[in-house]
Amino acid sequence: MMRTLYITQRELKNYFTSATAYIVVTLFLLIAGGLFWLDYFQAATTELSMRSFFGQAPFFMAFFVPAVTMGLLSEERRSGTLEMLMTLPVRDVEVVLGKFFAALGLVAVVLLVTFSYPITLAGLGALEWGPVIGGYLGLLLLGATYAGVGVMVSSWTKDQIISILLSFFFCFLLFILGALANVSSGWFGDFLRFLSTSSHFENIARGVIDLRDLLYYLSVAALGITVATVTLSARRW
Amino acid sequence: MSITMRGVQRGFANIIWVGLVLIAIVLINLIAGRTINRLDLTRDQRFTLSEPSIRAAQEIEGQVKVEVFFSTNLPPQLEQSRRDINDLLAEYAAHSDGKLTYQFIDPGANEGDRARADGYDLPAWALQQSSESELSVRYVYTGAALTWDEGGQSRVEIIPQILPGMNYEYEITRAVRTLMREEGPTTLGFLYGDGGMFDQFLQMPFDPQNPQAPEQIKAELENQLGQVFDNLYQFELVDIRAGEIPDRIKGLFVVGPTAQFDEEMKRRLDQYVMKGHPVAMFVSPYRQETLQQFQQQGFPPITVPASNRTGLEELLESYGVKLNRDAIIDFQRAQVSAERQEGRMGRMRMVQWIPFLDPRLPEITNIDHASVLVPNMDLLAFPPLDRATPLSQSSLSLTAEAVQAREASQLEIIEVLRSSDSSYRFVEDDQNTYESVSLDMLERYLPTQQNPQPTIDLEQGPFSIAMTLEGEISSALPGGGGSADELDDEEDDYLSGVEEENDEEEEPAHLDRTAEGRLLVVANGYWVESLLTGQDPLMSRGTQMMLPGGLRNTVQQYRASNILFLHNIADWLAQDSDLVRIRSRGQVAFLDTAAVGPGARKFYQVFNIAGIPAIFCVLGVLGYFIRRTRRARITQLYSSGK
Repeated sequence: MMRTLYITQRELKNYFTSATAYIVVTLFLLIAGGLFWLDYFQAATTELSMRSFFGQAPFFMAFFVPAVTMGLLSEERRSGTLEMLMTLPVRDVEVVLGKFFAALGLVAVVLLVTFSYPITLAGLGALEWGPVIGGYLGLLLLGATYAGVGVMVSSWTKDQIISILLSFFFCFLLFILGALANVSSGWFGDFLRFLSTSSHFENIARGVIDLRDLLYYLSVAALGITVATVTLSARRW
Repeated sequence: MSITMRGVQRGFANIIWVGLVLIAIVLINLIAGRTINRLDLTRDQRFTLSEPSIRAAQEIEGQVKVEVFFSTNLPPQLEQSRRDINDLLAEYAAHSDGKLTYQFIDPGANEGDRARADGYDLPAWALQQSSESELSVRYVYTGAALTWDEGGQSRVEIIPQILPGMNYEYEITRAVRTLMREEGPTTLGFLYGDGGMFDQFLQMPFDPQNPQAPEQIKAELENQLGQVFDNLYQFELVDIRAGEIPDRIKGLFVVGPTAQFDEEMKRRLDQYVMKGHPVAMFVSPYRQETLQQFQQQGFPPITVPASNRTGLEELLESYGVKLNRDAIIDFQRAQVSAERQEGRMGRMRMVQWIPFLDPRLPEITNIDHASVLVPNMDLLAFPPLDRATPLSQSSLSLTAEAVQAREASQLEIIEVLRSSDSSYRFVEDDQNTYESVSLDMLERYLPTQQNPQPTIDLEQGPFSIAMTLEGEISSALPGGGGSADELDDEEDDYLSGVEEENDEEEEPAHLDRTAEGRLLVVANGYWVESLLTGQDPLMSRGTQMMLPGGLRNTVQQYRASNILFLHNIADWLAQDSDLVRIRSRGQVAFLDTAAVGPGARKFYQVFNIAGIPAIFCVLGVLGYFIRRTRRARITQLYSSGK
């Protein structure tokens, strides 16, 4: 556990000492914040809620999280530091978990920064906090899912570009499965809907924390972490 | 690179490990999918069964079977509706102790199920779906039938369409309660013979080619009123000219009266109130008058504002509510105001009046949530009486006696609705009569950016628009008699055989007061008329076409709130506050953007869009310089050899 924590700290430090994190985070904040706030005061009356932010944020997360996770293991492989890491008294799963939590930590920081939005709204009127908390929890879980996928893909390749493109592909696929489910029929449609991150997020963003949604997000993240661990172990074969 | 036996074994073990994790994940999700464990963080727990619904489930006698006819492969919002209904029904079933069972049926799967759905009169509705290459229309079912069975008796209630945004709990609880009610729905009345909307309808056949008798028209109107209120209540049109208002009418609507009430009509209404029956009055000191001379010459009907004195004002005043002869004007609602150069005319002030979003339609933002009529509601606005007149929304005030009664705790008075803080009151007096008020005149008073206050000395709001009075109310008319409570005692005595047989040919006793009076007064009747007739100007094609996109949503929000308010009034009249509480759950709070100044809006936008990322970047740069300084110091330390 301590070793996982140490890796997480080291990775988080790396994020905040490189320009990449600042560029990615700033872009996310500018786009997501711009789309939410530029439209907000247009109508004579407007819903006092974060609904439109939570409607758009999952889409941006599918781009943002792969950008955060792209170098987690692939950069270690490219630079050869992964071999050195393997020689240390640390288990593969601890390495993967450390990197996963670091990515999740950065997602949490970004979400924390956007907390100025609901605080602003609360200053304007009686904001209902339940859906806001649900929405943020949903985004964090979505971030965990995408981070799991990102870590998994990052363990497959030493090329960061391939890593980000593949991660984006999987994250976006999970995001649009809900839409694909609408043109599919029967159990297959239901299955696609279950696999879709967006259908689970819609429920949680209403302010209903459902065990089924929590388990879905944690399951996908766990699968990503397991595959990444196995991929790392395969290097020892 | 050679593959060792040990490597193959480890690889195999890893594949098994991934497979086991996958199986475990699938199993956990499958098991979790069969149970409902959730935390509802919403303010009013709107996705969890409320106390009245739990009570309704527990009080089921016999067996209720719910068949939800829900087509498959629907858009995400409808799929979410399916899940919500399923979760709610599961909770219902759990609380009903097995007396409520439910099943989901896909009517598209076989002909028999479709025939069953049709047998319940559940409509198949057209759903537009687009695929990669084509746009297709599909007929789908999203309704439910609830069947109650006990001892050979059975009743059926249907929820014709389950759609996103509906209050599913309300629909299910309403249906369950209706099934359980043996005596049928409560009867509510709408008054006619008072010059209001129903008088016009009863004089005017629906189909000129096939005129109906007034009784048929009346029955048809009563049926339509039932549909407006989801058939939750039975409605009866009550002619105030014909006789006493019957006691079977549990609550009464008086909508937009324009005829003069004679003494007898006033007495009938007053005595109905004195019996403790709740009454909702929608009254205005102004009305629309059609200019006959133009109509006779073949021109389209032209309406002008006219004074409206029915005599109900005196009745209301004696109960404690004064209907003011004024017009509430909300200057912040003039949507566009600009100046431009007009040749030699100099600077011309151009004002654009957007229908229904103008100063005549004050926003009602001061809402007392203590009233059961408006829990969770944040915004209402009633449509104006007429396009040409600024006289639409009047105000109410309390008499000194009512204030005293409130202070003495004899009367509970709630100012349910009040206009916004930015509203002003234009009072009719000798100089300014309703005939002299025009939009042009209001335009002159319109505040500008340089002078944000109106240029005339007007009283500033908020002003009361709707009030409820509950408790001790005295009769408006003279007469010696008792109270409703004493009358009840007499009835009890009679039933117990104590009453002597000397009361034949008794005149109806005049009641001087009631301890259980319930009165709602709204200083606007036109909005109810427009909702009931389906001719809501807020939703007319003309209005919708004239409104910019963003404002169309605003107008629809007003309409949705107005409909909810009207339904809550019906529940209040029927003294069913449980249904009000369920229906009013899930109301979203709205922000009146006009109340946020342009400077503040700009600040919030700039701060959140650019300010937050800028602060984040500045912290990053600061961190970079701190690290660089530290690095330089270390380098200096080691290079100096110290």
